[in-house]
Amino acid sequence: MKLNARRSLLLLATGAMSLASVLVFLYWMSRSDESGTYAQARDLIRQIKQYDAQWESAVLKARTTTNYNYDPLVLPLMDMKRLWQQFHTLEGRHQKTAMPAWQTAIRDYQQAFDDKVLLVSRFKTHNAILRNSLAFLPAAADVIQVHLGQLVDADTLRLRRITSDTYDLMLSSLEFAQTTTDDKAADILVGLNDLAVNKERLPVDFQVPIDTISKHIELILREQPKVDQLLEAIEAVPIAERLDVIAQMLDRDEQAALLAAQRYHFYLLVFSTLLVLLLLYMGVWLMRSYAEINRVNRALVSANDELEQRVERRTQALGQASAALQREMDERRLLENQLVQSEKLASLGQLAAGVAHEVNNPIGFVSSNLGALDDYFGRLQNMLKAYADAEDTLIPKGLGVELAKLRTEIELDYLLEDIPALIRESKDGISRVARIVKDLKDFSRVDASQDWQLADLQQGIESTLNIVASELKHKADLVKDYQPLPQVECLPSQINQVVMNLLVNATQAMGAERGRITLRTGANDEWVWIEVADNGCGIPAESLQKIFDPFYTTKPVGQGTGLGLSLSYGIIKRHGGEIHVASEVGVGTTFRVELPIRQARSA
Amino acid sequence: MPISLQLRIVATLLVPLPALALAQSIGGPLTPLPAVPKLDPARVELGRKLFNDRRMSPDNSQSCADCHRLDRGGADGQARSPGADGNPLAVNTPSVFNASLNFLQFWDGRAQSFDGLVHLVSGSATAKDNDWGAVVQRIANDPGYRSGFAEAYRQPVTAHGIEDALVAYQRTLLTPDSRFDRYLQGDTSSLSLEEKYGYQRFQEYGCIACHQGVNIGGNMLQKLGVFDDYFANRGSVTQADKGRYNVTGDPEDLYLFKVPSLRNVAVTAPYFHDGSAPTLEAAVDAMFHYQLGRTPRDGDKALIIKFLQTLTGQWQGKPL
Repeated sequence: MKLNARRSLLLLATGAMSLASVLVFLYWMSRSDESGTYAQARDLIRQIKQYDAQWESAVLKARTTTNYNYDPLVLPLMDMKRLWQQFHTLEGRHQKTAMPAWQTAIRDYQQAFDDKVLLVSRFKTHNAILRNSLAFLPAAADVIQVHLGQLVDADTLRLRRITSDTYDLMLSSLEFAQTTTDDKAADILVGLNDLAVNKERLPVDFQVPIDTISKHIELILREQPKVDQLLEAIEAVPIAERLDVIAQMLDRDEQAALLAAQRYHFYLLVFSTLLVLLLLYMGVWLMRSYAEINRVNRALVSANDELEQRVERRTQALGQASAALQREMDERRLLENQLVQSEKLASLGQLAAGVAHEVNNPIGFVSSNLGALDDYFGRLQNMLKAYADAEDTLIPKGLGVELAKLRTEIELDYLLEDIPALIRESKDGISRVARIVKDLKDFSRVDASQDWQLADLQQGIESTLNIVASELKHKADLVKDYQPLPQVECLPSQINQVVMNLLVNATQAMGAERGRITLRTGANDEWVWIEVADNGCGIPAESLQKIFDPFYTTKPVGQGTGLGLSLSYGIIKRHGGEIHVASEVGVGTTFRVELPIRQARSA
Repeated sequence: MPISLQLRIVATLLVPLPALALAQSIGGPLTPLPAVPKLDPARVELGRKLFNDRRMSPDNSQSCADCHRLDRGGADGQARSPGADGNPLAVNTPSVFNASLNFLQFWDGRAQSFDGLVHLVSGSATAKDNDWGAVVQRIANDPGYRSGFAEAYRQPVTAHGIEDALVAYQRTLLTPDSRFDRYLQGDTSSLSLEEKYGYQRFQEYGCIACHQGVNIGGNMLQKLGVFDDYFANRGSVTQADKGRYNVTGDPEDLYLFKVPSLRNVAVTAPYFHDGSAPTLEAAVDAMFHYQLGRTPRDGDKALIIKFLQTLTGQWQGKPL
């Protein structure tokens, strides 16, 4: 992966490098840098041509001037060499001069130049002595005339002929210098021969000037055609033409270079456009991929979030399941306990029912016996009253005394008074026993039959109050605030048990001072409610939520099972009802039980 | 157009004419020596050291200055200087002074302008090449030259550098301020009447046909023996006597030699390529006979020699 990234980076760098080098190459090629050297080269060629012209005119001047400075025939050549060297070393000309056409042109020029140098050099050599002799010729002729004039007693005619011949020869030679023809050369040769012949007749002293002039004329005869030839040859040397060819080639090259530059300009333009397009494309591509990355990122984040949520949900669900399980377990345990409790209660109820039944019979006959006793004693009283009324009359005095004495002794009057009272109290007592037994039966009766039935809750509450009355009356005053209740479909014994639990708890919440317990009942269309309120110690907030938990108790060990409220909660829930608690520490606690009048499940 | 204005125009045009005519008449085909060119002093100094360094000869025996003695007119006064092998060289040693103004170098003109200012004096062509390589190496091994070249050329010692330094030095070897130069520059009093006559004869007899230009010679080749056979008369013709023919192989170039400069001619005897003329008189005689084909009138040769003696310039402020 890393290797790949490096390779692609390398590839990218190479690509960028090659693109850049193509760009630079095109830019380089599109620069018409040729033009700079072109102008220079053209200028150099022009200057060389100019020097060539100067050279040529210097040569022509040298042809006609006697005492001539030959430096102008040398200096242009130096300048031309220097300029040619410059032209050769011009920047960018090296590739050009390697081309065959150029090599030819350069070789041609150099050949022409070398030819001209040689010809001019020879021209100088020959021209210098030719001019000298030509210049000397008139003076030489004069010398001869002077010399011959000095001759005395000579053949004047011959002398004059020699003089005129040399003069003619001089003039012919000068003419020959102007128009060089073979005829004239022949004439001059003839003249020279004549002079040589005539000279022989003169004294030796006079032969010297004639020899001199002859030599010079011979020289003219020899050198003049040579100089003319050289001049013709010099003029024929095609330096200017060669330079023109070079100039033309320069023009052509320049044009080609310009065209090439234009072409490369165009290429550069196209390439740049392509590059820009590529850049744009890459930019768009980059943006797109960036957007894609963003999108994927967002998707990832949301997936992550979802995952977390799902985990949370699952955790929550798990927690809930766990709590449900816990609750179920608790409920199960509660049920077990309730079962145990109700078993206990059931057996207690059966016991109580049994006891009540057994007690009922004695109560019955005690009660009926007491009624009979009351009746019997009334009748006895009547009898005794009749005996008392009859005593004075019937019974001897003595006996009478005895009787009176006995009566006083047994306090008959008190007995007669007290017995009815006793009987009445006994009857009261037995009726109370009967009622208790009846309550006991009422309380426990339903335990035997766990059937749902319509029951009068008020009656149940009263029965329960009776059962706990003994405990209650020592500790608190009971305030009853009842509203009429309808018949409620319930398991009455269980509701009784709830009420009893609440009352017992309320009693136990009382401190040393005598408290007050308020029992309220009420009903609306579908619900009945029972409230047990005390002004006891109250329940702290932290304990409040645990009070319905099984085995939760604040009572000393042995005094409470911790089952009461939990059992009550279970019972009320089974009835589809609610049990609420509101408590304030030091102020009191209120339990409120709400029960539906009709059970949904029976419907 | 009024006549007066026309006259004034003509007068204005005519005023410079006498001055031009005078300049022409004074100088003629001769021109004064130019100023010493301004060259890099470091290079010139290097050239001076090389010029006087015996290591420049293949066998460490001779320096350039041994033959081209600046105290002897730039030559050594000998007909033919001894070479490295002790034998006389083929031709007379020309003066090094003003040599840079010559269009051609060497008697046979085998080099143009500066090319010939550096040369080795003996041996065959290949031997010279080898020797030259050895000389360059020898110079390159010298720490003094190394630092000198590094300073003057910013590069190590090369054959080209050595040549350039020598050329630079020799270009400074000009002898200005000859009396004739002063005359050319307008100081007509610098020549005596006789000397002026000498110059007039110099022109009249046609010496000036070849000895002209800035260097009074040195700008053309001429055949030695135009009117008579110099070599037949002298005898014992050598290869060197064939002159330019030795360079070109063209029979037309037989006996062609560079026309030597006449500057400092009075102090650079002996004369000619073979050093055969020990005095100016002998040289002028030979020139009249072989080159001019004329016999000077009485006294003209002396006048010309007097003129030639005004051509001696100065070196480092002192006449040669």
